[in-house]
Amino acid sequence: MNDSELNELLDTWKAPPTPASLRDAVRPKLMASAPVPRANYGKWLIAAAVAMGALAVGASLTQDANLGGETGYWGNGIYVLRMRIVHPALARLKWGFSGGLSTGMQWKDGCLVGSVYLYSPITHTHYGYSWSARPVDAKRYLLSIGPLDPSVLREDGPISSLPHPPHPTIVSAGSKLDIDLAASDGQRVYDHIELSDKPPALLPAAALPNFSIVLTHPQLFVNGQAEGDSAGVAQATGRTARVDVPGRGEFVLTLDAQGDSRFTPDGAVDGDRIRFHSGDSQFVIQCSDPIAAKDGLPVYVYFRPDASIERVRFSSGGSIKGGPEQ
Amino acid sequence: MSQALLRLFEDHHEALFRFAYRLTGSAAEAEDIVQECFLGLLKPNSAYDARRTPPRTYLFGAVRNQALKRIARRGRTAELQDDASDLADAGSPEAEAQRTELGAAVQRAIAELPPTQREVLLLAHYEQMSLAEIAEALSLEIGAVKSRLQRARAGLKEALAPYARSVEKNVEKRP
Repeated sequence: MNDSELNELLDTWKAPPTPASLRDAVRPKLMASAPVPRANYGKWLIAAAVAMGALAVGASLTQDANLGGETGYWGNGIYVLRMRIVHPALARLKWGFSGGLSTGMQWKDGCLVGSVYLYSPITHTHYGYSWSARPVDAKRYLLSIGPLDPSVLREDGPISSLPHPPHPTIVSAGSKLDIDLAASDGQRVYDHIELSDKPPALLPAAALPNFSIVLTHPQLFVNGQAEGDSAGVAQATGRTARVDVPGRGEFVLTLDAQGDSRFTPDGAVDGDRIRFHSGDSQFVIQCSDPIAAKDGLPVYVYFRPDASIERVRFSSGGSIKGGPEQ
Repeated sequence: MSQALLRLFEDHHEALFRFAYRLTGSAAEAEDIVQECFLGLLKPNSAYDARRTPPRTYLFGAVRNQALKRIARRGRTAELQDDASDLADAGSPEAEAQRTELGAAVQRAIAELPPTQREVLLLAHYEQMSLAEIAEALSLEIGAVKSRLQRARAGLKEALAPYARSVEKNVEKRP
């Protein structure tokens, strides 16, 4: 007998078919199984960690990140929210440390006007715009976005033109628009603006990046005396905040000076107030909500004298690093 | 995890059942053995280590161990347990074929092999496992597997020699 003949013989012995009762008995128990064979724990944990990491990386590559913003009141029952957003979220590492400025808003020649910009301490470039909102009727404004007014700059350096300057447009409660400040290399920094007939929801400090300052309905006290309120800015958030003090100058505040020697640790955050001093004067900014994600953080202050300032004004922004006095 | 186990079950339970049946000669015992092996994977102290052993190899080894325990417990080998009830219940063409004289003779011949040769032969011939896989499943050296398989086949050739003519006739009948 050769091997083939033996194989042929062996193949005549058939096993019975697998009984259906085996499947019926085992499958439900396997399906309901939560325990994992011991040796698989590591593999599954690693797989889960990899999946979570992939999700986090994926999210950072696809989602937006909030850099701060302002809310305010235009009048006529119209509130405005401006949020500065970076896309993708991972680009916050680049843009989140930039300085900048918002002048807030003021009436000029029958229009609300203001300027906002982002300042890159790396390229010493300004990215921003000046805007005006002229009332058309009781509920509508003609919003115009133009080149950044160089007179508001606090640093030396060129102004980058807007990648996609919007045309003047009629806006009212419910209007939304995005204004690109910078867009290149797959990254985009833009201001998202919303108008509503109700006060916008204010952002809790904990929802913003670490070391953000959130000034909500701020009021300024100098040596115990009230000096002024937010003048229409309900909330200003960002890595820096700025307060203009009449007859004195502008104070730029931050919780993270990043080694910028212009800033000195002259104050602290205490819940809904910031205390700092300059010279012989004590300053308190009293807000309606917590200012930082946690209390006790030192406040670094950069004072720039400017006797021409006529009124109190709070705004977000103010450059860190790269300013002319650095 | 349950999906992975289900996939494992679907991929291997039929082969494991066949192997257990041929080791024990009992479909009922084979069913119990396969069930125990899969449910054993759910136990926290399961010896299964995916880093060391492929699942197929592990499962065949587990079935073999379970079968040996049962055989030892009942005090006899799986020799020729004429499990007519299993076959009658099955009613499949395979079961009908097993009723043939040749099938019964093969079953008896394999049952009379030493257990160490029998399990190697079952895995090599009926489950088409490589020598390396068998060695891993049975914790043997490949050389030992090879020699056991050779001895098993030699013993079967001798035991089944009277039936060789039947095989030749079958082969001649093929187109």
